[in-house]
Amino acid sequence: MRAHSAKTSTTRPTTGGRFSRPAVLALAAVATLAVLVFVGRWEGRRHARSELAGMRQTLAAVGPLDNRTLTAYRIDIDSRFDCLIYKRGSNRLALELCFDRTGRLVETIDRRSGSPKISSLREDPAASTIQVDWAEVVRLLKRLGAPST
Amino acid sequence: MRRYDNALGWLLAAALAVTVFAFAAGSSIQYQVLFYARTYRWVCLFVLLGTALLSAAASWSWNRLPWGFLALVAGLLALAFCSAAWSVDASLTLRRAGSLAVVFAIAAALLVAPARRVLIGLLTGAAAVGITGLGMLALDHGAAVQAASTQYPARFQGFEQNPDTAALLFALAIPITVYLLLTTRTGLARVALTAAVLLFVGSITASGARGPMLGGLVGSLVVVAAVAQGRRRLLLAALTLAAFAACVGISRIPQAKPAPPTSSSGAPPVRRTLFTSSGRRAAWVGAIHQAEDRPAAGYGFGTEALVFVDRYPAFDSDLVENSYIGAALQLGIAGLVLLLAVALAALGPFARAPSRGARAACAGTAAAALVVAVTQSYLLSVGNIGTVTAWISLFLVAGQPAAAASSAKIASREIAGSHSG
Repeated sequence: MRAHSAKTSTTRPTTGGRFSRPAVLALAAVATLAVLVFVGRWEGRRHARSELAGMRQTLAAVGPLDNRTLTAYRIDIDSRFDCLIYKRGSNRLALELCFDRTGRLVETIDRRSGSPKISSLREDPAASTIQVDWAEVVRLLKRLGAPST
Repeated sequence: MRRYDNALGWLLAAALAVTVFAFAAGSSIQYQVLFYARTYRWVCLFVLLGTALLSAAASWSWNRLPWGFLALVAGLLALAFCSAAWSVDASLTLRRAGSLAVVFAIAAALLVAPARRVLIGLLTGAAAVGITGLGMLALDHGAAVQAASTQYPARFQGFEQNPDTAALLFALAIPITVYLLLTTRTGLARVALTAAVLLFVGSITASGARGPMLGGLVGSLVVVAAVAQGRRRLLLAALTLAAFAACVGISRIPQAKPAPPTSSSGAPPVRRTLFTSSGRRAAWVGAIHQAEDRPAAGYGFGTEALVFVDRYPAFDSDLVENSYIGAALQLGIAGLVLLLAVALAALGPFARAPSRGARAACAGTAAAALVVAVTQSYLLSVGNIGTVTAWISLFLVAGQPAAAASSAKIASREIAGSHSG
């Protein structure tokens, strides 16, 4: 009889007398997940803002897309992006702007200093709010001799 | 009823073997095989799920379940699904989380299955991949061997697209084979298992894949430490270490092509030695910097290939090639901590009370899986050749009751207790 009551007391542990331990843990897990959803979305927005700021700086350094420093291109990156490359001084690959096929700026690379400064939203192009005229990009690529993608 | 259970056990072993082989075929060098296997491997996975659930229904017992481990696994899965809310590709995240849920369901159902049959199924699948690799070598040498380059010597890849792929599976299969070899009694089975060990070890050595070599060593040592005792344990451990040293030595014999005197880019040629990182170190550092941009929750489950960009000249992969950094990239610190907690919850109880039963083989395979995960991104990617084997092993080592299969310590404690009482 003693053994039976001992078993009963260990199989039904309680916390504060009202909720079982698994229920409390499950509630804590759900609460943690809810917090993580909030944190994850916030981190995503903060990351996009930071990358967009970097991309704007490089875009400003390039100036108008059609300028005399446009020297090279890269196309079909990940089968999704095409890039225009601008020279600065003796560096022929100094600034690079990459666009998706709707004209959204998704990545910039600034190679003017020692280590390249990369700002990228290539994993989530929809998060980019910097838009250029895609027809203009296509025209510039053609002028550089790029095959159509 | 016993005949039915027996038949179900063998059916389960067959389904496991076919699924392991199907996932290997899903990354085959042979285009025709690849074309069909990329679809049908998922059919095999669902057939395995059905078989595992059928087997579980026949022998289900709530008492034998490792609740702490299962809670952590459920947490990891819930995090994977919830990450769709912040993922850079929510649809991809949900699909990948769904496939992980299927693997977890299979592994959970196998908690009450006859463990030895499960091991035989996994081993048979890996052996079939190894034998098919040898067949490829005989029929199409160019496909089975990656040609030497200025960085790498010629490397055996067998049936797969990459020398590291099948080697991963073989590293996970070696501890199972070693366990069965140490515990089987019939001569014919011993011959077959010895051949299987030689097949796996030989294939890994010829592939030159260092992570799987180390994984196979660690997994085998875990099995030897758990199963053998006294001088036999020391002897087998020494034999294992000697075999590892021999494999490393043999794998260094083939040489890369001589580098041209000056490269067109002006960069010095990359020469790989035993201790160079094959470009992984730079890729890992880059991926860690990417993970730092979204540290707590990551970019969303299943998005590693989307997020990681290979910008490293000596590295050639769409993935980070480190499951832990990959987990941090996908699910942030939250996901990495959960993954490590799951691994600890699986192996911790075994480390405290080692078992000489089938759990030892699962512990060996789980240890090998965690070691290989340092050099390959695969633990959370169900389409990979080794993911099913790795998770089944982790579940089984967590799941089997320690008291039943173990351990002289517990038995002696009980005896001591009865004497003092």
